[in-house]
Amino acid sequence: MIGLYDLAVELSADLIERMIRTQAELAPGVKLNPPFVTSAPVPMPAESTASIRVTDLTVQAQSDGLHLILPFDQGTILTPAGQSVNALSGEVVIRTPLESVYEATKAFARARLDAAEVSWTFDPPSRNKLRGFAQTISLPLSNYDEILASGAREFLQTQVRAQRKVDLLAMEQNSVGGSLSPLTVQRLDLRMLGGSVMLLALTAGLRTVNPAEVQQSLLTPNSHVAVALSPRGFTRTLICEEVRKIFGAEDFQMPSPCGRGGGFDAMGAKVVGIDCELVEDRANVTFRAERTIECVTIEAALRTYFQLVRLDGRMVPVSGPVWPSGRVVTNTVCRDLMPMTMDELMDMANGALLQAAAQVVEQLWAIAGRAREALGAGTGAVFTDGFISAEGLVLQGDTPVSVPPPAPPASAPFRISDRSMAVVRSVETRGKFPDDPDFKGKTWAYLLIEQWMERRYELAMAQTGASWPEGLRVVWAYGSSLAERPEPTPLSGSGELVLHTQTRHNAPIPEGTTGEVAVVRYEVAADGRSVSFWNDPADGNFSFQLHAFVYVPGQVHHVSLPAGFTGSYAEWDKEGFFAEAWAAAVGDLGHALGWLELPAYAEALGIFNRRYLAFPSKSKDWRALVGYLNNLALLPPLFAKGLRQADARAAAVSCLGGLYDEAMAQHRFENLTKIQAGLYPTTEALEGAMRRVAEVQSIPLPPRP
Amino acid sequence: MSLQFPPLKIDSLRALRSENKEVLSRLRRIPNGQALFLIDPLRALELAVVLPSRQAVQEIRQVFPGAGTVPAHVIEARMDPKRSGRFTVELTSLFGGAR
Repeated sequence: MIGLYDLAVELSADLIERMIRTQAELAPGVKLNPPFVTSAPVPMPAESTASIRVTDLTVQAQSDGLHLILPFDQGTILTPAGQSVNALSGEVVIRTPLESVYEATKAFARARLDAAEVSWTFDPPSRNKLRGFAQTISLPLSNYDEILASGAREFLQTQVRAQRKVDLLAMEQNSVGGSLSPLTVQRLDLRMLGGSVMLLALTAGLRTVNPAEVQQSLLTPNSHVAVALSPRGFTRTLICEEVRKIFGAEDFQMPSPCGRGGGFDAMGAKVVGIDCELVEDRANVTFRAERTIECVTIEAALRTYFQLVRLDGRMVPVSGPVWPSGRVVTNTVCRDLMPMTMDELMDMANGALLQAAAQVVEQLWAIAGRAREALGAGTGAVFTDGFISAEGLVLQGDTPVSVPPPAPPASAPFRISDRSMAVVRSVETRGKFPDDPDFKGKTWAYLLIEQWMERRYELAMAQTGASWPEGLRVVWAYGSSLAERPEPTPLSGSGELVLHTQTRHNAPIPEGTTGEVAVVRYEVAADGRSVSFWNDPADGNFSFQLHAFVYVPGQVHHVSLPAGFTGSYAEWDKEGFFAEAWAAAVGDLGHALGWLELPAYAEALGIFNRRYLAFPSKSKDWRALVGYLNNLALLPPLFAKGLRQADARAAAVSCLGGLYDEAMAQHRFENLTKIQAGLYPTTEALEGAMRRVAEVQSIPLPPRP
Repeated sequence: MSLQFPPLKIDSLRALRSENKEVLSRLRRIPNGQALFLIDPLRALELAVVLPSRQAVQEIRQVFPGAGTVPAHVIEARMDPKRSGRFTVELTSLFGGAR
């Protein structure tokens, strides 16, 4: 099972991955727990800087150690001259030697990140980009592979090697070589089994062992950690240790697997031997002890056994009863002393064995506990399966090493400041909506607002008052808001962008275009720290993503924000449709308020005007108006049902108050029109509101009380 | 298999001590004979065909009260290995007799 080794602990690659995610750091404070962004210098092209976003981590246990596979995207390489290639994706492989390390009191299995070899590969589209990039920067094409080959050596490898080592499992190594210490490891070998790593320990004596002889995994399909003890390991690490502890026999002198000699005195008896054997389903343990009281001598062999029992879903070692046998040497005169001698011996044996049983249980968990320490605080191995056979004891299970969610990315030292402004070039256009199917043939007056905008974005230090770092360079880039085209495209100088994005207007105005393309003029400032965009109002409303890659020597920072334009839009003619609706609403409001002896009509109207007529947003204005109409329409039916005046007044106040609550107005708007709130009113909403106004006006109010 | 011993008469406890070697030899040949002697010496002597006189019985009972009267089920229980384990008893002497 585990050859001539005494103890084996096997960890699945999945568990090691979890351990690495919780323990390893790629940079101070940056756990190797994707997703995360990292950047570093690369030598090819000379003195360039690279940045990638690592998206995942998988671990393989290969013959040369652990392979950490890190797929990445959003890769960028920037030259000192400001030329860059972006949106690279591929895979980083960190080949980490795994080795046994012995320190003063411990033996470790250690992932040597400090000796890791790092390589990166790019997917075919990225390789094409790199090839084009090499041509752009006049790098000999034959050398572009150097970007792939040499870049990694100086890139992640530098970072990885700078990080601390990851100890997978630590075992105590007793400096005095105490062979009875349960976790004393004289030698620790490692065996890679593809999907797992096995740590093989010898507790004493450097026998001729070869880890390659251990070929079978101890893990079951659902387990990620296994502990195995050979019969010799079981005896040495569990039984002998407990004998030593129970009897205080530091210098173990006894013919047994635990030591040699003639035995030792303990608890008034002489322990003369101990033996242990593993058989099917159980471990048999035998103590041999002698006790003499005057002329009575009892020589006893005290046997018990341990079994693994599944209790509450966990494997638990339990001990059986103590079964004594032996010889009593006495004479008739001393016969009265015999029961006492026997009883005392039995008490000693029972006590010792029961104590040993308890300690054996503890020791088994202690082994798991050592693993637990290495796996991370607050977790523990849970053995759900296991068995004892003539070949040894095996416990299998898992440890709930929980991988914390990735830490939020450290706030970038830079931000993008929005210095945009809108220029309304024309509000002169007045017209009728065309006979558009959405408007069901209606023609209403509207104003066409031609909104020319300049959007200007500046790079700024996130921390107020911070000084600009030396050697800073900025590469601006844009990306489509469409999910299928997220890659940022760099900008330089000035020119026109053709954005693939959704464009729309708030109404089917004849001057507007619609579709998936918008054209924007841009200009990057001479110092590179700001970029400006200008729209064509005919493109209407659209958005895109603006990126800034900020390079300081050895680092790349990426900041991004959504940008967009509102081009031409239609504004309803207040003197037309709105004037009519509002007049009716205000009239009803005044009537209702006057009847209810609420604040004066003028005051109520003032509230109304301040709330609605001066409201800056057309969409919010509309929703609030409809909400008001809805409230108003509710009053007469309530009156008709005999609502008391005080209640009606309270209801009216509540309604009026509700008008100030934008969320409530929105809610009522949706209830009224039964349509989803849009950015502009639809015919259905307008017509619904008109019908409601008509209903309100047709219901006679009750006479004044 | 029944053991055949020639009858051995003893008149007193002193005589038993003087026959210590012979009696022990007989008890060792009887299965659990030595253990039985510790439970009920008169029963054990009976199996060993050692015939104590009335005076010898009285003297033995002075040292070992209840000898000869221990109920059979008590003897069986005390000889049961399930109760006390598989212990063999080795007597070194009988009531202080010489080896």
